[in-house]
Amino acid sequence: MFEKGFLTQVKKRKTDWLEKKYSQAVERFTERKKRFETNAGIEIDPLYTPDNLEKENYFEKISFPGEFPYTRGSYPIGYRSRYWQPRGYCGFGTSEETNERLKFALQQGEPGLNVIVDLPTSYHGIDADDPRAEGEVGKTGVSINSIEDMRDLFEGIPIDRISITFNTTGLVIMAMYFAMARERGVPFKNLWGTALNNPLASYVSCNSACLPIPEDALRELTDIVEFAVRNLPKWNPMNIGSYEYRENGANAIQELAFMFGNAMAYTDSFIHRGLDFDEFAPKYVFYTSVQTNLFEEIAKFRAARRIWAMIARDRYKAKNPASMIFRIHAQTSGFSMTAEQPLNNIVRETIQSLAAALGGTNSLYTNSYDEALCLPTEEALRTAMRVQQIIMEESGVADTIDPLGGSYYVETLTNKMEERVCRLIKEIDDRGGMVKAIESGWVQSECERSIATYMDRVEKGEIVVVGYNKYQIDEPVQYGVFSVDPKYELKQRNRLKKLRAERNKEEVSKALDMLREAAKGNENMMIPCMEAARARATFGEMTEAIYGQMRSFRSQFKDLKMKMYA
Amino acid sequence: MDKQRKIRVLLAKAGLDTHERGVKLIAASLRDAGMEVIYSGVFQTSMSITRTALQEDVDVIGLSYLCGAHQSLTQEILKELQKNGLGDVAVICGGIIPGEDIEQMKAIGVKEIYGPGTPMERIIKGIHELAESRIH
Repeated sequence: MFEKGFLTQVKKRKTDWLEKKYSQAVERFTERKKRFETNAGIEIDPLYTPDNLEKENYFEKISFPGEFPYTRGSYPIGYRSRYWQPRGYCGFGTSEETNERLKFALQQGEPGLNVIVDLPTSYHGIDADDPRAEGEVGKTGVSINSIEDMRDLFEGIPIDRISITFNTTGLVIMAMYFAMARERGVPFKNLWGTALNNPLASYVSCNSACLPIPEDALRELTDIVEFAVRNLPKWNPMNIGSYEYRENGANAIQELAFMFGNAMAYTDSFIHRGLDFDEFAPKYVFYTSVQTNLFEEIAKFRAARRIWAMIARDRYKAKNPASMIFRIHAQTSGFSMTAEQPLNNIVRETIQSLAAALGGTNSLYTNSYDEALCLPTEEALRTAMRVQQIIMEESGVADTIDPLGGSYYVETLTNKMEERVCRLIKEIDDRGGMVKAIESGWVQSECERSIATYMDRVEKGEIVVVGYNKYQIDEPVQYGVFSVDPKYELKQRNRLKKLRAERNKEEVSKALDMLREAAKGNENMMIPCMEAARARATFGEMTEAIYGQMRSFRSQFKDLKMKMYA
Repeated sequence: MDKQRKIRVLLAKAGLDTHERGVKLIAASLRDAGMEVIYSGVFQTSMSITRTALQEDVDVIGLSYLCGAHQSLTQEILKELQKNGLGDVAVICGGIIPGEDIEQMKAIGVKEIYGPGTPMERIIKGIHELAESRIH
C-alpha cells in the first residue's frame, strides 16, 4: 500500500519515537495498564502507523464499497442514499393488541415491522390453552395460535409493500404467514421480509432443552429455505445469527467464528438438498450483536464482510457477487445493560449503535435502557429509536462511506480479527463442522469459558462497568415498571376456544395426517403445513404433528410433560 | 442450628423462559459462600420443584424469573409446597419482577424478592436468616 522507501523511513522514525519519546514518557507517567487489549484479548499497541499495514494489498483486502471483499461496505452507496434501517420490536398480548401497536409504528415512520412472538409460541410450539403455557401467554411477545391470529395481526397492514420480520424460528409460523397471505390474495412474489430461523444458535443458547436436535432442525430449516427460494423472491428466509452466542458469553472473535460455523452448516445442508449456492446465498442476512468496545466492534463488522466474501468465493465457488455480500442486522447488547444507574445504559446503547453505524450495518435494533429491569416501557423504546436518529441525522457519521477505512488502527484490528476468526473456523472444521462441535458440547463450553473469564476480569476491576464495579452510588434497588396485563391470556384462550369450536374437525385432522406423513418422509413440509394452517389447525397441533415423527421431538420437552402430569 | 449442617438451597427456573445466566451466577456465589446448592435448571414445574425440595431436604427455594410469568407460577409452586407439607420452606424470588408486583408476591407468601443489582452479600445474609428461622 505504501512505497518501500517511505515505509523504511516510517519504521526508523517510529523506532526512534518509541525508544526515546514514548519510553521517556512512560517512565515519567507510567501506563495505566501492563497490557492494553480489546475485550476479546487482542493486544493494542500505543500507536499505529503506515508500517502496520506494510503487507496490505489495498485492492485485495480493502478495496471499494460494494466490491470484493466488501471490507468497506456491502453496497457502493453506503448511507448516502438511505440510512441503515432502524428497527423496533413489537408484540404482546393477542394479535389485536399487537396489530394496534404495529399500525402505530407504521405511522411513526418505521420502514419495516418486527414482530416478536411469546415464549409458548416461539420456543415451545404450544398453544395458549396448554397448561404448560399458563402465565406466559402474550407476555414477551404476541401469542399466535392459528392462521386467524395471523390474519388479525396484519389486518390493515400492507404486507405486500413493507418488510415484515419475525423474530422467531420455525416452519409452522412461516406456513401460517404464507397461508394467511394466500387467503388475503397477496401473491407470494410480493411478500417481503425475513424471519430469524437460526436453529443452531437457539439450540446452544436455550440450553437445547426445548429445541429439536440439530439434524431435525436442519431439515426443518432446509424445507423453509427451499420453499422460499422457489416461491418467494423477496423473502429472506433466515438470519444467520450470532447474537445468541454473544449474549451467552462468546467474545467478538468467537461470535464471528460460530456464526460462520452455522452459516456453513446451513449452506452444506441446502446444497445437499440440491439447491444451488448462488440461488440461496443472496438471501442470507447475518444477525450480530454489538457491544461497547467501540473499535473492536467496528473491526468485527469490517472483518466479517471480508471473511464471508472469501468463504463464498473460495469454499462455495460463488459466481454471483450477491452471494458474497455479508448483509448485517445488528442489535445492541442486552447483556451490557446494568440495573445500576439505568440511565447510563442510554450512553452504552449510543456507543454500540455508533459502532454498528461506523461498521456499516444494514439494519439496527437498539435495546431499551430499562432492559435490565423490565420489559421495555414506551419511553425507553422511543429513546432507543431517538439514539439511532441522532446518530443518523445529527452526527454526520453517515455522510461518507466507511469513514474509518484507512485508519492504521482500524485496518490493523480488522486484519487481526480476520486472522483469529479464521483460525477458529479452522478449528470448527477440524472438529467435523458446527453440528458436531455443538453436539459434543464444545461450543457451549467455549462460551462458558469466555463468560467466566469476562466475569473474573470484571470482578477484579480489569474491565470497568461504570456504576457496577466502579463509580457506584448508594441507590435503592431498582425495579421495573412495565408488565403485561394477565387479562390477555384469558382473552387469547377464549379466542382459541372459539376457533376450536367453529372449525371443520374432519378437515383439520385430515390436514394434520398429511403433515405427519410429510414429516415422516422426505417431502418438503411447507405445503402440507400451509394446508393445515388453512384448515385452522393450531400451532401446537402442527408442532406435534411434525416433531412427533422425528427423532428428537424436542427431546426434553417430553420429559416436561411427564413432570407435569406424573 | 447444627454447625455440621450446611444450608441447603434449591434454585430453579420455572416456566418456559430460558435466561439462566443470572441464576447460574447466584448458584456459584451461594456455593462459594458455603451453602449446598441444587440448581435444577430450566422448565421446572410446581411438581418437579416440590419433588426436588422433598428429596433434597432444602431450607430455602430460590426462583429466578425474567419473562413476566412470576405471579401465576409462584402461586402454583407455593400451593404445591403447602400441599406436600413443605409450607415452612422459605421461597425467595429474583430477576425481573416489576415493582408493582412485589407487594402481591409477598402477600402470597414469598419471603424476599431480589431485584437486579442486589448486592450478593444481601442475598447471602437473607438466606442465612431465613434458613435459621426455619430450623429454630
